Amino acid sequence: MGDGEFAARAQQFADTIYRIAFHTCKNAADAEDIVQNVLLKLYRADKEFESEEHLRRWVIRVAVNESKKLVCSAWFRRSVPLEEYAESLEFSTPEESALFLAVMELPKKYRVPIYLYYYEGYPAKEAAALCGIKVSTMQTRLQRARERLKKKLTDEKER
Amino acid sequence: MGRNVGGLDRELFQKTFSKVKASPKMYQEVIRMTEQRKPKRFIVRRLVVAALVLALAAALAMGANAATNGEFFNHVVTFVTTTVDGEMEIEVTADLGAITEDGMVFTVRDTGDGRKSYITYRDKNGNIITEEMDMDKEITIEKDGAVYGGGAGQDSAASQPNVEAESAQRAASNAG
Repeated sequence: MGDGEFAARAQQFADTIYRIAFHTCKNAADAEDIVQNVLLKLYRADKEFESEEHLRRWVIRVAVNESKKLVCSAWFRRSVPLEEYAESLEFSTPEESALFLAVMELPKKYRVPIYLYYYEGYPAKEAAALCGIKVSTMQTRLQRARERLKKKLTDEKER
Repeated sequence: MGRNVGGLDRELFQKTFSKVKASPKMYQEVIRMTEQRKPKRFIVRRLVVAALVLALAAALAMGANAATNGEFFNHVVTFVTTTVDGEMEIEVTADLGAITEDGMVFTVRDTGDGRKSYITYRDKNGNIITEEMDMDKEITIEKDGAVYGGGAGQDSAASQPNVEAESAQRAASNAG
């Protein structure tokens, strides 16, 4: 991949990788480390991509794997209060802020599936492939994540 | 508000998480890191240029360039670059058949710290000459064979010390 193309691809995918990483590790510093690792892998990748979608899936898959690796490693020590980070995002409505915090409060195994399904728009089958899990597992995780989110957001409204 | 999928508003989800973004600083850092991954190529380019300058200087010292009417570079036939034990080595073999009976081989070696470089060549008397090269010079070789060089951060050829002259002097002293 040439420098010009890489710079364009880095810009194109940096936010997607960052969101996946953030859903896994819940902090900006680690998420940025993961973005760097994934983009450097992309830079070094001696691979022909059949299509834009093929490239996109490759990047997401690597991002999911790199995120898992960091979380499992001894490096995963840093932690910044989520509320502090949420404030920096300057959400325009309380609903956005509540949804962000509710998603981040989900157990780790639900966060990336819910992101891939609701943000990236991948159906359960494809999201399962990207996460390296069974379709039935993905469906269960999505269902449980939705139930938890609905409950959490309803409780928030009632307060 | 938006499309409700499985009890969750997808548009609200997308609007919320579109604000979660990597910092521009991080993006710049990645680009910088990829640029840093190419020092060898950069060194090779600079070493080739340095070797060419020395080749030209040696030729000038022998009056060869004048004899060939500035066509010296037309006689440079091979460039070989190899990395041995972390050291960058370049051989520039100049076909000087039109100039002298013997060909000349120039070898430029970089120590790897990016600061000290040495050029080794065999002069026309068969002596092996090794010299430290100042690799901090920006050197430009024009198509017509004119050579300009100077310190980093200076871009005017007119304001630069002439590497051609410096190198010619150095080569002449070695050859002599």
